[in-house]
Amino acid sequence: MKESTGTYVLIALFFFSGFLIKNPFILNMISIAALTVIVVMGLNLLLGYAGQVSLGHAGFVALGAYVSSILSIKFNLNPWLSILISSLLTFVFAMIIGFPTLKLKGHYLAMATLAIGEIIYIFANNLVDLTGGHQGLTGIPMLSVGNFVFDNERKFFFFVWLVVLFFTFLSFRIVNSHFGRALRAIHEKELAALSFGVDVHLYKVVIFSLSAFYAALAGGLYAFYLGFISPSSFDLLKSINYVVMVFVGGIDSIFGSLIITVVLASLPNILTFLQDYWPIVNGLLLVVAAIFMPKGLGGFIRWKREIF
Amino acid sequence: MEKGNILDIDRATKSFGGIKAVDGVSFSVKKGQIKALVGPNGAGKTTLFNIITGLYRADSGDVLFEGKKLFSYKPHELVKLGISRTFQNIQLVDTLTVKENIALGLHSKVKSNPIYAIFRLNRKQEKEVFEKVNKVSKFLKIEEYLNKFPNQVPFGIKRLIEIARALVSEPDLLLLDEPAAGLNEDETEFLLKSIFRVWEQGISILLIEHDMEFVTNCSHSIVVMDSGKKIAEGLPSEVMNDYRVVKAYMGE
Amino acid sequence: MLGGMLQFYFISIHVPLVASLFLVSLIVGFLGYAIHFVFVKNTKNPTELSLIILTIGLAMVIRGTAMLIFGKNAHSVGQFLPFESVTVFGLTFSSQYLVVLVGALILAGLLFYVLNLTNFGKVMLAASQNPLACSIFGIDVEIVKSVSFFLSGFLGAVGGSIIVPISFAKYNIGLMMGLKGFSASVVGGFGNNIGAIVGGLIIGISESLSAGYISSSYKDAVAFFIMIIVLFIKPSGIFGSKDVERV
Ligand SMILES: Nc1ncnc2c1ncn2[C@@H]1O[C@H](COP(=O)(O)OP(=O)(O)OP(=O)(O)O)[C@@H](O)[C@H]1O
Ligand SMILES: [Mg+2]
Repeated sequence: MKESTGTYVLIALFFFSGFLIKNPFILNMISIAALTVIVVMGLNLLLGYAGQVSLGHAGFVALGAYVSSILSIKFNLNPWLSILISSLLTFVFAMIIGFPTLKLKGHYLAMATLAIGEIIYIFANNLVDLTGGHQGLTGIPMLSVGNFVFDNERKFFFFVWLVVLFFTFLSFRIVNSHFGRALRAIHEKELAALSFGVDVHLYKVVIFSLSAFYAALAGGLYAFYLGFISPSSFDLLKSINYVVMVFVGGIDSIFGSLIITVVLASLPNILTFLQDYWPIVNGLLLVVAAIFMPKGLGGFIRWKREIF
Repeated sequence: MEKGNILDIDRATKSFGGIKAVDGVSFSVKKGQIKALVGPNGAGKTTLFNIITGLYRADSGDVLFEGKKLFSYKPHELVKLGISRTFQNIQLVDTLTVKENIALGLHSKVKSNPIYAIFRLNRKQEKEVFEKVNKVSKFLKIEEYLNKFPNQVPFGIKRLIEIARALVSEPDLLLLDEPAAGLNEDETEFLLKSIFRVWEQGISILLIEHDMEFVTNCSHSIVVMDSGKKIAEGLPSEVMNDYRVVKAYMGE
Repeated sequence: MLGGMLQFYFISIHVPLVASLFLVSLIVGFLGYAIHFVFVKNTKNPTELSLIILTIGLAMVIRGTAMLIFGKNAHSVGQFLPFESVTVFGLTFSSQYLVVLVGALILAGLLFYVLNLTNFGKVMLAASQNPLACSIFGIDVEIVKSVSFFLSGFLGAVGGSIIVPISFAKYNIGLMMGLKGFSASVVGGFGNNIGAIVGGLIIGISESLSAGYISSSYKDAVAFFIMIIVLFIKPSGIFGSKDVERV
C-alpha cells in the first residue's frame, strides 16, 4: 500500500469515530490531538524531510493563536480571516527570522530556534495590554459559517479532521515532488544537493516558513476552539513535545507522525497521575528513539514508493 | 584567457589553518579535451574541485569557465552554466531511489517550489526528466537498478549512478573525482569506455585519478599536483617521464 | 543547573563549601563521562540529527528528575565569602559577584592553558578536526571524547555552583544560562576565546541597559535579539572565521 493511502484511511477512521464517541471529554481530547497533528506534520517537513531542527515551533503556534485572537477581539475581524492573516503573517515572520537562523546547523540551529521560541514566549507573557500576560486572553469568539456555529465538541471534531485531511494532502503533494526530493537530498547530502543546483539555504527557509504556517494555523484554530489562551500552552516543553512526536513517529513518515501524535498528545490526559513524570518520559522516548530506532516507529512500516 | 579553453584556473590558492591545500595552481582545460589531475594523497586535488564548484571559497586566484568568473556565481548556479561533478566519497541520497538520485542532476531544469508541488504544475517537465534519466541509465547500462535504493546496489554501480547524475544535465564540463576508485578490472574497463563515449558527445572532462595506467589510457593531457602545488603538466608520455613526478610518487 | 542544584543539596546537608564544590564538579563531570560512555557511544549510525535528539532527550530527563527531587521552587544558597558585599569605586555589590568574576577568570585561564598549551589540548583540537587521521596516528579518539565530555560536565557544574548564590537554585536555571552562553558565543564567533568574552560582555551589558531603560521583563529577549541581529549581519560572529565542511 502507498503511505498516502494508508494515511487517508487512518484519517477517515478518526473522522468517523466522531459518530461513535459519546464522551465530550474524549472528543475534546482527540480534537486537540488533531490540532497537534497539524503542527507535527509541518514540523516533520522541516525536521524529518529536510533534516533541520526547530525547538521553537510552540512559538509559531503561539503567534498564530495570539495574532488571530487579537485581530478578532481588538479589530473585530472575522475569525476565519483573522486565522488566515495570522498564519500568513507568521509565515512571513518565519521567513525573515529563518533567513539568518537557517545558516546555522545542528546543535547551533537547535539553540537559535529555541531562542526564537523563548522570545515569543517572553512577549506573550509581557505585552500584557495585548495578550493579557500570563493570565491569558479570554473572550475569543467561536467559529461559525453562516448560522452554523462550531459550538460543541463534536462539530469541531469533524471540522478539525477535515483540516487534518487538507494538510495531509498538502504534505504528500510536497513530499512526492521535485521539491520534496530536494529536501531529502538536503537532509542527507547537503553539499551534493548544492552542487546539483538546489539553493539549499533558500529551500531551508521556505520549508521552515511553511512549517511555521502549519503551526500558526493550528494555533489559530486552537484559540478559537477553546476561547481562551495563555502563554503556558506555548512554552518550551511544547516545542520539545513536537520534536518528540516527529522523532518517535518516524522522521519522513507522515503516517507515523499522525498516529504517534494522537497517542502522545492524548496519553497525558488519560495518565494524569503521571503528570510530573511527563518530561522525563518524553526525554526517555527521545533517548530510546535516538539510540535504537533512528527512523522512529514509522521506519518499521514498508510502504510502496510513490513515484510518477 | 586563451580562445578554445573551457576552464581556466588562475593561481588558485586555499589553505586550511596552516596547511596550504592548494597553492597557486594554474592550468586550463581545452574544449573537447580530457584532462587528468593526478597526485599523491593530500595533494589538494579534491580541494581544487571544491574550489571550482564553489563549495570552498578560494583565498585568492580565479577560475574562469568559458571566460566567466566562477566565483561570482553561487555553487547551485553552476549546473545551469554547464558544469557538473561526481564525488570521491559517493554522495548518493539513501532515502531516494536510484532513479530519483539521478533526477536530482536535473534539479535546476524543473521549476521547484511548494506551490508547483501542491498543484503538480510541472508534471510534463517531470516526465521529461525521467525520460532523460532513462536515457542516461541505458547509456551507462544501469537501467535494472533504477527502482532500487542506493544501499541495495553494488559499489561499482554506485559510481556509475554518480556519473549518471552528473551527465543527465548534459553539461559542457564534467568533473570526475576518482571515478575508478574501488572498481574491479571489468568495471574499470567499462568506465574507461563510457568516459570516451561521453567525450565523443563533445563534453570536456577533467578527472582526478590515482591509477597512472588508467590516466595514460584515457587523457589527452595531465596535470600533476603535490603538496598543493602544480609540479608538472603535459602529454601523458612527457609527464610520465618527468623526474619530479617520479620523485613525488616514489618518495625520495 | 545540575551543578547548582547539587551545590544547594550538599550545602544544605552541611558539607563544607570547598568540599562541596569539589564533589559537585566531580559528580557532574562523571555524569558527562557516563553519558558519553552509555549513550553517545551506543547510538546506531550517529547522524548529527540523532545526536541532537539524544542531547535534548537527556537534558529533559535530567531536568525532569531534578524537578522531581528538588521540587519546582527556587532554593537559596548562601554566599561563599564571609562578608555580604564589596564596594568598588563607590559601587556596592554582593560579594558573590567577586567569586563569580574570579572563578570565571580562573576557569577561562585554565581552559586556555589546557587547550592551547598542553599536549592533550592539541590532541583534543586535532581529534575534533580530523578524527580519522588521529586514529591512524595512534590517538585513541574515544578516550579524548570521553575526557571532553567529563570536562564539559565539570566546567558546567563549577559554573552552576558559583552562580546559584546569585541566581537561586531551580530546576530550570540551566536553560537560560545555556542560552545566554550560546548567544554570547554566536555574537563573539564560535571557537574564538576572545570572541566569547567580548560576546558575553556585549550581551551582559545590553541586558542590564535594557533592564534599566526598557523593562526588566524583556531583559532575556534582548540577548536573543542581539544574537539574531549578529546572525543577520555577520553570521560568523564578530571575531569568527568561516569554517568549511569537508566533502
Ligand atoms: N575541509 C577541510 N578542512 C581542513 N583541511 C582540509 C579540508 N579539506 C581538505 N583538507 C586538507 O587539504 C589537503 C588536501 O586534501 P585533498 O582532499 O584536496 O587531497 P586529494 O589530493 O584529493 O587527496 P586524495 O587523493 O586522498 O583524495 C589535505 O591535507 C587535507 O587534509
Ligand atoms: Mg581527493
